[in-house]
Amino acid sequence: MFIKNLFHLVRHELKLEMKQKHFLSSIVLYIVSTIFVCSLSFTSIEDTKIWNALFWIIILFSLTNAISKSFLNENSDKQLFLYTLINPRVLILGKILYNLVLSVFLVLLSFFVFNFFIQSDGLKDINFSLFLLAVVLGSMSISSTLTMVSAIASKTNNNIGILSILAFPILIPSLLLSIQFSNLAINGGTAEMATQFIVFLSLINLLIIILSFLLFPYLWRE
Amino acid sequence: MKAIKKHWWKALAVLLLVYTLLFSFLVPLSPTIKSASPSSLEIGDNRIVLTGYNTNFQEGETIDASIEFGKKTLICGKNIKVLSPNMISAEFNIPEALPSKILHVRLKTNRFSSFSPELVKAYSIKVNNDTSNLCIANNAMATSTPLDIPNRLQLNETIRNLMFHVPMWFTMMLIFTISFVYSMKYLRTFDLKYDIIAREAVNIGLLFAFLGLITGMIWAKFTWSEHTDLFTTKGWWVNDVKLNGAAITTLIYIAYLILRNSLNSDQQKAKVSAVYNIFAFVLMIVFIMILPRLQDSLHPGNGGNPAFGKYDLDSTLRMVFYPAVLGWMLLGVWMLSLKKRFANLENTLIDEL
Repeated sequence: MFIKNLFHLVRHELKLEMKQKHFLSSIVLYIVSTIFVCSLSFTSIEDTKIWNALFWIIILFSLTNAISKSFLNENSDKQLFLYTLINPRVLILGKILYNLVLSVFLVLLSFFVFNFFIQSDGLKDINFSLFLLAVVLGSMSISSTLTMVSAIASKTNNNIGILSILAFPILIPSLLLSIQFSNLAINGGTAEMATQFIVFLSLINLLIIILSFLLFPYLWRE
Repeated sequence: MKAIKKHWWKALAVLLLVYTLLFSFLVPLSPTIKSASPSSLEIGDNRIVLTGYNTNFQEGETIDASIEFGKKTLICGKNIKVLSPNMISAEFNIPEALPSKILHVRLKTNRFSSFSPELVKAYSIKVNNDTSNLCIANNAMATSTPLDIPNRLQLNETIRNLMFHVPMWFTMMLIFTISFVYSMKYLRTFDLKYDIIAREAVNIGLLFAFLGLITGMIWAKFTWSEHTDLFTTKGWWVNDVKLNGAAITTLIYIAYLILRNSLNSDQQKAKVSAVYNIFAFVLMIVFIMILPRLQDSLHPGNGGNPAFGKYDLDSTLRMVFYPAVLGWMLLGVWMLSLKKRFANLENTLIDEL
């Protein structure tokens, strides 16, 4: 029942997304135009560290933009309707799951666009599969934190401002881990060297999901 | 009798803090040698001038100066002369081979014994593995150990900050843990009196966080940085794991207060901020545990730095450090209880109006 509801919900969100194409296209346009603006000032970056940092900053802001809408779109009537139908825990898990899929898609997209516009000579010895793992794990922890915090921020009037104030301090550590991890991958590190990053980032992901699972039911009950 | 039973810990807090203040500002630093000139020695006879701090040498006093390495006395100083209360000169005869090129100096008088690691260098010697005592210097015998605060290289007088900077963070963590516990209690019962404690604990905890930041910034400027001029922006902040942790913690709890202010009804304020408090506290604790294991820190106990627990926290410092921690913690809890009473009074006043 639980699993069935969960997949129903994710499918429902995906369908909604496909119906309202303006949201997804606006966020894709946001990413492309941000990267294009960056490319105007840096046509090529010699230092891979700067390349990496710029990439993660773009990811952070585009994900904040994309996920801030996950509780904003729902007006209170529709929310009430959803809450009577399903368990709040299913709802938050569904939202997190959907946002994970969305963020992995957005991050991969921004990686290809970023690589297209801004080249770096230092990327010759990149361990590509490890880099992808770093990007996916990092964006997962960013998006699950942002989902829970946007649920908190949706209770206030000043949604987006509050969201970034609340989420960024919590995000700094997982962002630091992801940046170090992807730096290692760019410099040709192997999976053995990155074991601690993989373990810590996965643990953080798990912890965020468990915390959201436990705490969300208190949020929606008026 | 009842009042004593109820309030004894407040008296204890005052006593401990008065003791901490008196001890950390009045007890002198132990005498030590700060510098040697010239500090690089040649093979053969060398006359060097040792400058001390708080040493207070007197004419005619028995003084032993010796060069040591690896707990062995290698060379004993001869013809030791007192030049001024903080300066002596001594002659060292450097042989052709010694166990190390970087050597320690020990100074002994009847009043004290001091050890200065890596004070002199002898680059022209050969390095051998002979680690036997080459001479024994035992003219001077310290009769009693004086009460003083250890004088560490680079820290010098700033070591007194230990009794203020470190307890601030301990107290902050205690107070934020109290806030976390009361937020959980609130979510179990939805009773607003728990929310008041959680909120006031965040206010008090932030005060201690800022005090910890300020004391730490001043300490960092005068020990880690070369810019000791007060009126520059350099040197106040370094990129260090523990500083990042402190900044993250402060930002999280300021965000908590902003979140509270942007909500309308009391119940909603309490509920939403309790959820954020629990979420942020658990993640913060995890990060504070994880991050220092991934990166080195300038702080003692990390990345090859000497740890306070191992070398610097000697028995004299322990005598005042633990009471200081307890005193500041009690003060924090006392402040919290006052803020709680004040908030309750305010609420009843609003209800009556």
